[in-house]
Amino acid sequence: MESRALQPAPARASYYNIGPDQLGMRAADLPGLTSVRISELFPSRYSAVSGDGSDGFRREIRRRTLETLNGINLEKAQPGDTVNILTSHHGFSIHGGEAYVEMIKTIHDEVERRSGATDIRLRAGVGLRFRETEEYIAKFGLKDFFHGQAKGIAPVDRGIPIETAIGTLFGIKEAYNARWIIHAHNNDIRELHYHRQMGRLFKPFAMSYATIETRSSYHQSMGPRAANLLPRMIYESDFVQKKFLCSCMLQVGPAGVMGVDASENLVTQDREFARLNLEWYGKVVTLLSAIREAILIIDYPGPIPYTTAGGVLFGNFLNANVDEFDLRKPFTAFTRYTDMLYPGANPLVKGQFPPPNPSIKALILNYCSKGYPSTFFAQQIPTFIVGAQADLFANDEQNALFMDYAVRIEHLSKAVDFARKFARTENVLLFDGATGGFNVSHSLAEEMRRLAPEISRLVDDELMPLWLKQRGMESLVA
Amino acid sequence: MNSVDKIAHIDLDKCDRCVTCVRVCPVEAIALEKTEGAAAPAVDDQRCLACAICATRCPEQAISMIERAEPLYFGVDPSQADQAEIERICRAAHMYPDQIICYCRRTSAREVAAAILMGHRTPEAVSRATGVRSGCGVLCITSVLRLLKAAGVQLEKAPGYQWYGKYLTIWDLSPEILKKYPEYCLEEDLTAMNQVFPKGE
Repeated sequence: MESRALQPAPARASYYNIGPDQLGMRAADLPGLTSVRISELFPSRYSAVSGDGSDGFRREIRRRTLETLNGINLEKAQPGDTVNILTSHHGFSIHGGEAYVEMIKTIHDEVERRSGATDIRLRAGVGLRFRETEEYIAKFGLKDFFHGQAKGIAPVDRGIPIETAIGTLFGIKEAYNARWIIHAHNNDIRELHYHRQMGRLFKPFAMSYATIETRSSYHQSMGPRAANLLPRMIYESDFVQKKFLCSCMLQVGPAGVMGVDASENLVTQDREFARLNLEWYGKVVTLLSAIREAILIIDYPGPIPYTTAGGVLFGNFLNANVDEFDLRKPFTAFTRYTDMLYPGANPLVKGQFPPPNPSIKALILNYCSKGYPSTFFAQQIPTFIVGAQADLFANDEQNALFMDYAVRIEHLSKAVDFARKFARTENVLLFDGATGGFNVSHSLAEEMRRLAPEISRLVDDELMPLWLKQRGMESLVA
Repeated sequence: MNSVDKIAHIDLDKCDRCVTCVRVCPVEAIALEKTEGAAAPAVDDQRCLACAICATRCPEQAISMIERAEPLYFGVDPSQADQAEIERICRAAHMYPDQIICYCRRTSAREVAAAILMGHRTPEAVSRATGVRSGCGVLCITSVLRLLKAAGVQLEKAPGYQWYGKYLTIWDLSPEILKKYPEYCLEEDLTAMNQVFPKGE
């Protein structure tokens, strides 16, 4: 069942990327590639949302958003009340962002229709690229849609103290400067090495809606698993609870957008999604752990660890030699806690950290965003960086030393040829944002198909019961 | 020594004097200066470490990063500070001297502790001396605050939005909290953190 490479995520004009005209070629255009669809590897009872073209897809997202909002008491908001719809950068990049934007617009329209409130604002939080959501607001015309009330917010903006059960934490003032807030987010598995599928849906409360001390506490001072208590405490604070109107999640799985789900109780919703995420992503992530060797090509308009293949991240592959769903293991190969203890190639403390996934034999950066501290990756993995992308990283404020560890090669095809000789493998995997499957070399496609049945059995029979039990869940929903 | 070859440049024709740049700069390189008429923000070329935070927060997009005529060199030589005191400060802050604090510039705890001992007593002064916080400007603030606290420096809040002086560490959680939320592996992480980081004083 060989097939051509899937369409990669399109290049994106951005302050954080090289211009599309500087991008020599996309990795999916390399000769000798094929694709493996998730549905082929792991048949599922769930199917991704589809529609008749782009308009049909948007109509379907709108329909599902309206349907789930029917169960929410939006009428708690009154005419004259202010409402902030809180969003985060990643949603705007999920499969092109169209679904997330349609969900947000539908929330706006439905709140206005049912509550009579008209002062409804978009607040779009970011990771470490402070202009990113401003770019999305412009791209999707959200400033006009929100009558000028759409704004990117960043962790260096003015803060507001939030008293929690464990102490004072800080939110971004403009996230909370309304009578009501709506937490418009997604369940994408994304940075599993941080959230470990505990409190995944809460995370923006300590990240994209928070100022620097709270975000830094999460990454440097709380511990790799315990850090996930912070967003939960902020959510449960009186300050947030008095404002919380509802949450609305874009449901995402490896095969694409799965639906929309709204709730008035984020604790309950998070538990439901923990179960779903284990089911939707467990096998795909575990499959990565079984691949013995591969050259990875990064070719996606996002920072290195957040580039995607088959709906999961480079960061998931980097850490795949440790079962990140297994809560018994404190440290995975890469979190900011491990990064702190790697001043060079080896950790300061021996015997505590697994190495970055040794199956990654080489890393080729053809296209990715600046604006994420990534020196650790180049220190740990033989890294080749193509053409103008090297100039971008050489001038990246957040990667002052990156190019001390990476090798520049002018053309992608030559980088791949060299990496094949260097790494002595024909296995190539693209992190290029293709939806619904992996773009890979034929050899790796064959290996993934061969591995999938045993991975499926391993997850169903051994790992899933363990993961569920660790989270106080005994069985899957029938 | 580290160096930067860029500097923030403010287009005063676009600038609306909102002073966001003054409030977010992690090295206090931008201040209002009175030239002709109204005060306007100006960049101190001996302080700007080219993090571009001002450029990416300016609501008028009035700030760009331009090439410097000459690179600006910065950094501290930890060997010039009291080594025993560096060790003590780091240990009190649950850190190894050689561990990384700033992922962007790979600044170590040793460099930051040395800078504090050399008289840099605020996060901004420490950043100017070492370069810490001059990349992403987000991830390393608690480590800087923890080291300053361990050195006995009392801080309240920054003059702008740079920091507020309150943060949490796992070592601050009460025994009741550690037990109350077992689903977040709090007690287990306290044990794990004490295995990989110094236990403090």
